[in-house]
Amino acid sequence: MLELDKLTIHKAHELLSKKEITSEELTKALLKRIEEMDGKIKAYVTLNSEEALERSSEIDKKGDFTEDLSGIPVAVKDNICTKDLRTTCASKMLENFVPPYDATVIKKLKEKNALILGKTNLDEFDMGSSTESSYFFTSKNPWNLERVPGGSSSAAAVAADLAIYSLDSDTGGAVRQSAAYCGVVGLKPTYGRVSRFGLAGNAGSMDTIGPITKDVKDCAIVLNAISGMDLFDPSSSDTIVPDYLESLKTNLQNVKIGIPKEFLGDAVNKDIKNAILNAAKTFEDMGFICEETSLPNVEYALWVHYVIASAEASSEMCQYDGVRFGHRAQHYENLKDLYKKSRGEGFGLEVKKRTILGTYLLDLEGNDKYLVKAYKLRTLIKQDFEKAFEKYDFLITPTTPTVAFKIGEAKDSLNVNDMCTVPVNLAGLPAISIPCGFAEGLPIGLQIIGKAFDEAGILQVAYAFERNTDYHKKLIAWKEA
Amino acid sequence: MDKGTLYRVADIAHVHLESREIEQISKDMDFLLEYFDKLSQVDTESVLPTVCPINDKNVLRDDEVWDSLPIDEVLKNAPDKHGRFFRVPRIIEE
Repeated sequence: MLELDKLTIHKAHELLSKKEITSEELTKALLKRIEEMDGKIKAYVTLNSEEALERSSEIDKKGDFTEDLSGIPVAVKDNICTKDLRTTCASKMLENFVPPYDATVIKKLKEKNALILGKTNLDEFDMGSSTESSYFFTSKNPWNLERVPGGSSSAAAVAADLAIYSLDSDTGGAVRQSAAYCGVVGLKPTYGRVSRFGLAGNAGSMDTIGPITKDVKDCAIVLNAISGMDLFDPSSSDTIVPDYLESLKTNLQNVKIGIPKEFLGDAVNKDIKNAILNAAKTFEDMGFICEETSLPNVEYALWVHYVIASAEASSEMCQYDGVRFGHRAQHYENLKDLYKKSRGEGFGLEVKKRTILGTYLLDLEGNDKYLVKAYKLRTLIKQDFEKAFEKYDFLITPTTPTVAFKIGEAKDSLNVNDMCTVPVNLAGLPAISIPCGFAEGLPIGLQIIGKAFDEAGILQVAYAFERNTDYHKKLIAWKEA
Repeated sequence: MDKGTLYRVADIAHVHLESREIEQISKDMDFLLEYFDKLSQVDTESVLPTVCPINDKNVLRDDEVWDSLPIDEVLKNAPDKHGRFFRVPRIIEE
């Protein structure tokens, strides 16, 4: 029997176009799956069942499935604003916030007749790598319920067939890291490729929005739908958007891949290192050239990222003041006290810590000593990438140095698990994570990094790898926690 | 970070902290700042800072009036409102 919840976008689109299935059937199948499984995974903070069903039957009635995403349900990370659908950022501060507008990416998806199925969990205001700082609950990894799903539950939702695909955000690696931990595909676009208007900001110079999907083709389809210049986001770029799906047909030749040695050192698990070297072998078998290279300054990336992210986050957090929207304390003495108490009650510990640290870094004392230094080191890291890309078309690394860690195991804020993903945000480059093996019964992610605005290139390389391997087809053996 | 500095910065950030949070944050800050101190050992004398990674240019657009959200919609999430306004505690003393 055809299991509708397991479909990819392109397969669902094919069946919808041929009228072999309806959008309502697809939506119902997913809602049933969510009802059965989400008690275990806890991927969704809010479900949009009624509206999704209503919209699906409207779309069925119109019967127009020319758009690739038409009638297909999507899960959206809960820091992306959805009109009339609660958007919490997994914070008590926004527990009851219902946005009066759609983020640009949501507007674009709705124009393609996509259905918003629900909103997925994250660390509070996206500050973390495990969803453990969510105000609501910790989400689980479907491959092993004792493990974290990554910094967002969108990938868990896709991996567990609780959504056909999802939209996620990536400031230090959430899209790629959670895709790697859950054995699915996640793409972080170049800074400026996709509008962030309507994304609750975390770190303005690094935030991006990207798709999480079951395969590379789906990733290209979603990127086609959400890319492009947006007047509401001054950081969005007017660089031409190619047809990413069409570009998958390109036959790759003379590809040169660099493997930065800094991401295969002692901090990286042996099985993961082997999986990456095996991936390089797969590429060589396809006729690509793979060579070791070096990015000497990435060793500073974790610190640099934490400094910049905290400073930028602290100014983002200023908008939560208990006046226009969000939590307001009940008891306060004056306006300043209202701000202080509302934030004191509305923010969790990690958000408070970063807000205060960020304020310190923007203050005179911390600024010269740390923040300016971090922005200078960012230049060096960016230059390392530029230099590598003079010689190589792509770089490959593990997405994470270990497989998904156990819930409760992350020791401090500077999580070494982000070591391979944060340099890419610092340099603003595009990168994709695709499944490339297994260790301890959990998926391993291969990160492919490209030149700025070469999403087409990384999708092509990822697609070539996917066609020559079957890691993405391996099914989850459900294991009870 | 000593508690005096932490109090001062939390006050600038307008964040109220409970005493148990002060203990925890102060401890974490020490760890982080000690960590950050390693950054200062790297020579960046002649390096320019990078604030924006890509597309580092000023974006201009015509000064046109666009539709904005209806007032009802804007006030929908306000914790306290009065007519067409957000309501806040008195700011100017009598």
